[in-house]
Amino acid sequence: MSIIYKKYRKFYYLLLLPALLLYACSLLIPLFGGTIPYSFLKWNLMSGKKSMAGISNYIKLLSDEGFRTAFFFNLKLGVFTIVGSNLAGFILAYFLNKNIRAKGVIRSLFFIPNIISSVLVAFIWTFIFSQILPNIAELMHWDWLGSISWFGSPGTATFTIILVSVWQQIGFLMMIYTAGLQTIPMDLIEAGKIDGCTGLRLIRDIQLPLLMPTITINLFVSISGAFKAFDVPNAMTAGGPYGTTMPVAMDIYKEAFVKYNMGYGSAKSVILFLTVAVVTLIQLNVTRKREVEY
Amino acid sequence: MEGIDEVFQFADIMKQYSGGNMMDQDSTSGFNALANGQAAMLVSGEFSLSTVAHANPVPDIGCFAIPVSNDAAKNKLSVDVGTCYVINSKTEHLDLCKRVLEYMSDPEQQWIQVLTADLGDAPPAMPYSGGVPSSAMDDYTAYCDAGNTIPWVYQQYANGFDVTSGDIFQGYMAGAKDQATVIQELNESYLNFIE
Repeated sequence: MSIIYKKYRKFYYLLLLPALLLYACSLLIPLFGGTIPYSFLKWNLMSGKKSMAGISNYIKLLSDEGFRTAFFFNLKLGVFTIVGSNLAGFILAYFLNKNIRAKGVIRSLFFIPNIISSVLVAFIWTFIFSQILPNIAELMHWDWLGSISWFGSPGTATFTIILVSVWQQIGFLMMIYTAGLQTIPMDLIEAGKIDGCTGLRLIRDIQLPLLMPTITINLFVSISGAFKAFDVPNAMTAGGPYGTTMPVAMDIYKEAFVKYNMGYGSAKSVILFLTVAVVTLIQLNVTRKREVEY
Repeated sequence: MEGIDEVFQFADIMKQYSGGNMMDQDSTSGFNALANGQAAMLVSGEFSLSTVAHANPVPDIGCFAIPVSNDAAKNKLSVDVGTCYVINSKTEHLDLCKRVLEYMSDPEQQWIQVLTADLGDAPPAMPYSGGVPSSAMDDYTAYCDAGNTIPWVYQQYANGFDVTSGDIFQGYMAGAKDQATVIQELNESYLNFIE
């Protein structure tokens, strides 16, 4: 511990105080003073009746098919969105890091979906799937395309949500990967090339290990984003057909503010919170171990 | 339950004549299809009467209630009450709230017309005039004048059931669930609301 740190320790803690207060007011107090205690209550918002339910809300969750469907949909959405957006974001960042013309403009174009409202993005894509694609199919006499019901079956509806989520997130992840790639010293790259390390080997053995801090951040952002998914599925399918594309966040919203079961909705929220916490902790642990220094 | 089989039979007819991509369509595409002659009928609410009447050219079509019985008197049109005023029974200012409603419902003020004082008992429509003239509007007013109307689902059942019942019935329309499963799920879902 340095002498300077010891001397200014109190001042450092004082600097942290505003952020800690904000964090406590916006997350810790509502979570530990509201959501977690409410999850042990049988509380209907309409009737206003509250009674102690113990762990019955959590036991009920085990046999709740709707919650299970929502949870597995979230997992599916998470896996495909996280892998798809990170892979595409890295590939774009890698090629746009080369000396190509108008790369600033191209980067901006890829970033635009990220600054458009998610609801608007969802409406644009809904229009593409339900109006534009069928018309293209009719013009081109592509019956195979025209016969696809994009929102009519769980498989195609899930595909549309994954595609739109990936499309929207690529730009942001690409920017972070670009920043990460630009921090890698050129002398390391050149030294690798002199030693005969080129192409995919250069990416795998030199660039990716040095990018691990960036990958850690991007995975963290995309994992938490995937589990919090609400706006895109809500605007595109509203959870349909028959609840098969309903993410957990939407299921919680419906439980608490449509069915007015605040206690049961809180129990679902706690489970979602714990799931996200566990998954992100595992991810941080795994990716941080792989980080290298130069 | 009386009429339940007829509801599903009507749903089957809708499925049969709505095309392979019916699950992808929304009300806008339904209006477009009706306006340009691609669709002969549209299942919608009274809020669409004005939209249809503004099409160019105006399709000369009528409207009828979703048939649930061979007895015409039992086929009631779902119509909506624009606004419902509710006073919380626990309010400390019950008298003041009543005074506001009395003022608003004073025939001289003409703000509102009180149709009922009981929660859940809102009559769906009163004798009605207005709207954009059309054959469909004529049929609509005939239903209302005859009192052959029924409130929308969200005015009949517990709050929120209109949303979850729609999700469940979507399973039948998508062909993923049969009639018995849908009825069972609707019953179970409703029990959750009123338990």
